[in-house]
Amino acid sequence: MASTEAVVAGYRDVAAFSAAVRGLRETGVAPRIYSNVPLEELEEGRSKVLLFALVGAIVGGSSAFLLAAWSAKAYPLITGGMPLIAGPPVGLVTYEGTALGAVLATVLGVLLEGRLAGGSPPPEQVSTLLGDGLHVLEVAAEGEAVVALLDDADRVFGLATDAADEPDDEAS
Amino acid sequence: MIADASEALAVEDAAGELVEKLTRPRPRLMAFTAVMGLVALLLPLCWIYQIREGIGVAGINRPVFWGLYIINFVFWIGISHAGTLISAILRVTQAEWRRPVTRLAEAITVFSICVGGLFPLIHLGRPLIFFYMLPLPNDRYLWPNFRSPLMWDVVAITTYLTGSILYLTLPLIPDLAILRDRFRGEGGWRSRLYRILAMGWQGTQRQWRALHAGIGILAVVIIPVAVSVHSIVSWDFAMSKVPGWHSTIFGPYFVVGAIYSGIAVLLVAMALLRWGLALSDVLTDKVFSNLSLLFVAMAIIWGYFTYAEHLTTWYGGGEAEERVHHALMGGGFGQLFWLMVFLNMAIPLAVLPFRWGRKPIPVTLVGLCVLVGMWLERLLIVVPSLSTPRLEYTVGTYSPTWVEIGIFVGSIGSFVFLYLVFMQLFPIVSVWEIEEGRHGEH
Repeated sequence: MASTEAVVAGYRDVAAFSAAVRGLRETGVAPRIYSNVPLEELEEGRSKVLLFALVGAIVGGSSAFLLAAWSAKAYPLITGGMPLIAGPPVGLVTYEGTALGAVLATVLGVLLEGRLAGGSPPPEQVSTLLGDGLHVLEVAAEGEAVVALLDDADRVFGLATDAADEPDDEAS
Repeated sequence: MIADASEALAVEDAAGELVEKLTRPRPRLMAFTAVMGLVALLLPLCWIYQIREGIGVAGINRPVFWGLYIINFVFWIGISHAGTLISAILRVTQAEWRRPVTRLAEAITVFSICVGGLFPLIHLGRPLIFFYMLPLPNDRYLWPNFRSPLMWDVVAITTYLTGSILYLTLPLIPDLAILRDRFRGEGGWRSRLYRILAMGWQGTQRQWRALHAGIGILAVVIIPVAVSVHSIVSWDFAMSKVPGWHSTIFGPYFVVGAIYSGIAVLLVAMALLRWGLALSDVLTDKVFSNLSLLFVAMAIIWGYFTYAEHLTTWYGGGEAEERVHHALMGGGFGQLFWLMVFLNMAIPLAVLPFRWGRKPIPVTLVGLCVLVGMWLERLLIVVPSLSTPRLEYTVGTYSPTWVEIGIFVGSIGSFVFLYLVFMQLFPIVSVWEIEEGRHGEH
């Protein structure tokens, strides 16, 4: 992969950081943002984790219902005068299965959407800044205009990065 | 302007101070952990003895077939409501003061379910055939009977344990990444451990967005699961015709008791952590005061349920129920019953409504009283009803043996040991949530 130069800037002040990110976005540059805290004011796009949860709930609930109903028929044993497939107990098992499916699918959704499964930690320089409690942005060095937007940063330095590791398109 | 990142920053950040405080090695704490580890050994040792010798070494016998094991099962599962439920409710309602409390509450949940979940297995007598309760394909084509309330327990507790572990670990990931970054240059097992567990967390907005959504969904899902778990535990009792158990309010009564004992253990843990880790700037008096007010509310609700339960029994005048009622009010269990009322109602209501009573030390003492009181409540639900059954010729009593007491003490040791190990490996206070709160203030 060809190497391109990127600029990494670390900010202690959230307001300055947010202003820099917005400034870059206004110039059409999509910086990759790293932070130890969530910055909701900079969030773009919507999460699909809820969709995972809903699908997981449906799959979990259906599976639990089928398990409870089918296993009762597979070994037919009348208990307490109840029908083989009695509403309340099957309902309870279905309820728990729904919750379990939703929980597992939610975590799966977070792992996939956040690209956590098999993901790699940030570059060492970024990690150093994060370790010092700074908010960090990484942007391809596309001239003085971009670098000038990073004036308020506490730390700024150059970073060699692979073309395959282009900044995240947060707007996607 | 472009400089080398390897130059250390002189200014230390607040999060860094907190991380340093939480991860600093403490020899005395490690020694205490080792002692608790030894106490915890009582559980496996006594259990192995029981497996070798048979369930007869326990004090349970006709007519009291449920003893200390089931009492402790209900007690520990009740305590588990400290974390997931309280943390989830506070998250969903966006209570700002939750931030220092959530992680330490969630850890209580996970370890108390782990310990509490062992008791039904211990009570089985033959724990090696536990897998009969799992829906596994087998050559006899025999499946678990899901119409049994005991099977509901298996399903609900499995769901609750899974959900609680994930609810603890998901918000832990950003803090693991903070630790990974801080220990990066040091090498060693801690560095490797955090690198693996952080799973490549970078703190990008995409990741935060996914995490926020995930935590929000888990918080909403876990609340009804927690309610269902203790309702189902109560239905283990209420679905039978045993006098004193066959009650329609047992579900909510158990849930309220669980939350009440959960808050008690949470307050005690908070006070010990504040003192032990010097966290008075995070676990502030305000946090204690707010949780204490919730505690008072739960004390009143618990008292109301207890009164309603006994009033109905007394007024109904059923013969078998009356015998249990009299045993509790002034009979063989009278002293324990009134001690329970004193510990669970009189003390909290005498102390917590006052400002001085909501400081860490009095709150901790009240919390300990309530823990003892709630354990007595479980004892008084299980034993009096079984020892005065409908058929009077089987009347009997129960006293635990050293094996049961050893397992009980070992369970306390196991819980404390697991908790101490966790807090020495991971931040027991959610660093990123504290930081998020600080940013919100500015």
